[in-house]
Amino acid sequence: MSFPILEVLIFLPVIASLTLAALPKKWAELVLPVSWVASIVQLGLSIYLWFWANNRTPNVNGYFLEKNHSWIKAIGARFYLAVDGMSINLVLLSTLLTIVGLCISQNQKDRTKAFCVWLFLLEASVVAAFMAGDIFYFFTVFELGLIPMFFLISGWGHGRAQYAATKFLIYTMAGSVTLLVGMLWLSSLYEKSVGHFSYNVVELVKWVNQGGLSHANQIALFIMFFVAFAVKAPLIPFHTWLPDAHTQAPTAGSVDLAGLMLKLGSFAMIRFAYPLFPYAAQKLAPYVMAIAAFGVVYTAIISTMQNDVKRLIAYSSVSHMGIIIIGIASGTIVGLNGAIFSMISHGLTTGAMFCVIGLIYDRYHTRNISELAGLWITNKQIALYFIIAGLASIGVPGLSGFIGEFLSLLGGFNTVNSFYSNRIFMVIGIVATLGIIFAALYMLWAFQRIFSGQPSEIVAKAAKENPGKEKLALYEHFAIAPMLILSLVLGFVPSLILGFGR
Amino acid sequence: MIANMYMNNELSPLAKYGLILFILPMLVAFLIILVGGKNENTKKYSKIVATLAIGLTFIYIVLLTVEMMQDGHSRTYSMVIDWIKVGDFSVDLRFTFDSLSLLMGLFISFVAFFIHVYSLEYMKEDSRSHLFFAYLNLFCASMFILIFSNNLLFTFLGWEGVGVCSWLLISFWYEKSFTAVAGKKAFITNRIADVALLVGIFMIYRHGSKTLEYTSFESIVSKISPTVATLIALCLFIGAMGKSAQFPFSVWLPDAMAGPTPVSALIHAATMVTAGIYLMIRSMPFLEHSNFTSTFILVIGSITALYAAISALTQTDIKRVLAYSTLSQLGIVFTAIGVHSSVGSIFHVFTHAFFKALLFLGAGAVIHAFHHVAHKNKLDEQNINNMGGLKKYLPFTFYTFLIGVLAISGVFPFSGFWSKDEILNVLYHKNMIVYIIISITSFLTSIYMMRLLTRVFLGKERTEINNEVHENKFFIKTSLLVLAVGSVVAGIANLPFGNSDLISKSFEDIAHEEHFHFNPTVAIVSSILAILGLYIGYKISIKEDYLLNKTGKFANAAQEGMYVDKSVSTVVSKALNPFGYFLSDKFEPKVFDGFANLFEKLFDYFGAVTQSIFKHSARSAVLVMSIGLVVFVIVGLVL
Repeated sequence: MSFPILEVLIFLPVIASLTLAALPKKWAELVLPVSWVASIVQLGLSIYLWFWANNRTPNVNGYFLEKNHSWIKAIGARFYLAVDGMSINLVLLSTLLTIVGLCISQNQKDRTKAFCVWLFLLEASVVAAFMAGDIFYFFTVFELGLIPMFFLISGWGHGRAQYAATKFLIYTMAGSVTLLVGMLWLSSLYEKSVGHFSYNVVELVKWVNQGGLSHANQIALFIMFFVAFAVKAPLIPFHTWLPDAHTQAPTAGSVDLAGLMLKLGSFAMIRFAYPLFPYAAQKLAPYVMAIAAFGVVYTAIISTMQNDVKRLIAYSSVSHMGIIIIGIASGTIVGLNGAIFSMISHGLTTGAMFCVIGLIYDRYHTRNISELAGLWITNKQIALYFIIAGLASIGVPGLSGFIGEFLSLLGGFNTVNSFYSNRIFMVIGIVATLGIIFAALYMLWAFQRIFSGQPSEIVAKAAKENPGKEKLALYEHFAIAPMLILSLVLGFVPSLILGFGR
Repeated sequence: MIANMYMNNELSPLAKYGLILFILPMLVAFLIILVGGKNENTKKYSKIVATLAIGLTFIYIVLLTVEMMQDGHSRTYSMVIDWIKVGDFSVDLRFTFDSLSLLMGLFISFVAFFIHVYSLEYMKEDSRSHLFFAYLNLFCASMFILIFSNNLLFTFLGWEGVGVCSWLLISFWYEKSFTAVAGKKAFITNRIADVALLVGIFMIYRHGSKTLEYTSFESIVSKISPTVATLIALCLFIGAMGKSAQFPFSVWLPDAMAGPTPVSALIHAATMVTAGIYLMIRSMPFLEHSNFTSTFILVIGSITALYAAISALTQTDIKRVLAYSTLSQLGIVFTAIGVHSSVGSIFHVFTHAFFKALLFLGAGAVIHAFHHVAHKNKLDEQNINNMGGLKKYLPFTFYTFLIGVLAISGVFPFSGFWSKDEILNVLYHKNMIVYIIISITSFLTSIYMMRLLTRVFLGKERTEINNEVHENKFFIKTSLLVLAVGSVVAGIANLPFGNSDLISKSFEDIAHEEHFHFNPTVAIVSSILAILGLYIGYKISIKEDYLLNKTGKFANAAQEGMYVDKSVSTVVSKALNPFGYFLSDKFEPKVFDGFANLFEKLFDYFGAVTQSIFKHSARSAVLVMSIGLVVFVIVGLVL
């Protein structure tokens, strides 16, 4: 393709953001139109990219499109963009969720301009990261992405937003330290044997596969990479930044945090950690998978006990990410594709879930389950959305959540590993599968307490004071419905994502 | 493999477009949910359209059956739609039509249609009844997927789908929170069993079936060790225990009676709860290679049959009697599965669908008619000890209900006699102990059913009625009549004489099982037990409720469902709840978050240092940092 679509996808939101930032105060009414145009163009481009790649076969490196620009010559870091099926789908998800974030924030009257500026910067950084083929470049754009997220949480969040934002920032940055050290070390090892520095994943993988890296080094480097990505994913025990960040973030922030930021961790595992260190990946697989399986069940139980719905969903996200990591670590085609599918599906269903919770919060100014009841009577539309998003999230077949979860667990259960007996992985697979019980428990229990019975005091009062406000506005439908429709479509036609093959 | 024998162009059009069976009701359901509630007219039409949709599926299945009988195929397929294809794993959306799925399809769509008709009248006064019909249609769509699917994973889609619909329908009257609690309980109990089912699927994939098609099971079995076959069979059976409410998963079914009565009739008596039995028949190859699992099934089936029958003896809620009776009957069917009798189990499931649906709808008719009087006297409208003497006011309901009672008790020549005899006959030859247990169960069945009939319809009026109880209208009567006829004649599907054992014949290609000739001893013993039971049941309840009032501790135990539910929920609340609280309130904040806060202390220290430099908040520090990063990137680009 001669049109530099990848570069445009990265820099268009940057330009949009700068344009918005430069808009003088008196043109404030232009902020939303500019944002809409930019994000729709962005979505259009990523849809185009999706269709373009759909009927092509990837090149020898497994990529549909590669762009290799020079960047920091001194240390060998390059601006290397490489997109495979996973990248294309994740980029599409990013542009879609940006629109959702914009849409659900239509009644966000507080500093709209700054909000949109940060939203676009966030989009630019995640889109850039999802195309990364160079570790150094991935590291940079990832760290850059933390900044808009920090401002979105601290500037527009609720409650202890400042605390949550700082915790988020410090925690994930601290996690990246091991990646920074690891990649510098890896690159210097490469320089010693080949003669020049490189962070290019294709070159590095080739070098590693030719035996360039000792087993001990592989293990050390894998752990350094993996810990950094596990913090971002997050995998227990590195997950505690997430519930706080999610709970305090504004709706759009939560949607993008869960839908996009979390995927950077698992994306980087698939793109960097696993192909680069295949020996270590196999050797450490039972440990990684055991932690992940424990995490699936553990966080699902914690989820059950939450009183704040948003916190509940945040913990459920950690549980889902555990299943994704099991799929990745299984090293099977089935598991890996399941993980990728789950990443997309989780973005859609959790995004929808956070939007629904945002709707509830807008109307009743509480997210505490104990203060809510009887919403099914006052607000049938929200109930319907909650049911569909909830069922999709807990993996009821027919909706997208099931396919990813099933394939990940199937892969995990049937892990092929040259160092360990299969039985270990069967046990791990069964433990992780137990998570679906608690998933049903937290979701249905929350639903029952929030929606059934007679309206609680708060709900009844809100209904009396603002009659008619329970009905959803058009923009709210526009934000949620597409995600759920997509989830349903993917549940029956998973080949839309699986078809890209791996 | 067999799937490839019929290329798409060879399929008859009827079979080829078979997927319409689930697509049509599903679309109707979505349509009603989206636009059905606009105004009174759309609500009315929604219900009619939903009913017609199920009627059409019934006709479609009848035509399919006729066509297959004429062509002499034992199995045809619908066209294939790719579903999940990744690596070596490849599962399709495809329907199989063979004698098992068609038989199930016939009675499900038939009963479902008449329950729709019944609901037209029964749910008339409910302002949300169009949604009720939408959920019913969604349920039927899922049920068709479950039974017609040609592979285990697509079946699992239907399996979870019926679970979701059951949840929605039990909690249909969500204004009362206990309905939502009951719905949730049903769903979660089922989910626990589903874990085992999923693990079973994983193992079948692992041991060679990459398509999970039922037809591949035979060939897998020949390749695996008996231990693996046992594990697979056990996993699948535990999955089946959830949906078919076998002990100890039985706890959800009595509570599920919180839903509207037509739902209890359709989902929790005639169709959904038979899904487990369907699954077991499909996985018969594994069972046949696993003595352990077969014995386990016999044990679980016997326990369920007996404990539920005892529990039914002193229930006072008309629907709970029937719920326990369903449990008990399902237990009986599972004992047939335990001795690998596909024909016996499917035959009883078939006849049971008619008479149990009839009994539930009859109960619904009674509740509907009695509701007004009960409400006025502030009495429980479902308590049989508030009723009595209703025969005078509801003669039509009484006679149809009587047919149901005779059929379920196994009185000659009603349908229940033939199907129960089939099971008893096999048990008699294969396992004497279980035969005796099931005979006792049948005897108890006649007692509690007769007690129910007597307490409701016969004897004195225990509530002043003043002619305020009236027979229900046309739709309800029609449905009762049709199902009553069904309950009488459904036995002809497999009469044990000459050439009339249709089910056995058509199952020859599915199940290669031993066939036992009609055994007069078994038939006579069961008939005597049934008649005796009916007589005793009448005697002990016509004047007063002897079992409830005069048996002390036993009555309590039976009323509590032999404490099965109580012990399970005690374990859950005493063990799991505190554990959850411990994890979320103690472990998580102290251990994992404590770990995080260590970091924070560290950074607080650095923060203090940086703050002394910047003398500003964290936000400006971040701003400075971001400017630094941007400068870094730009410098990098220039270099």
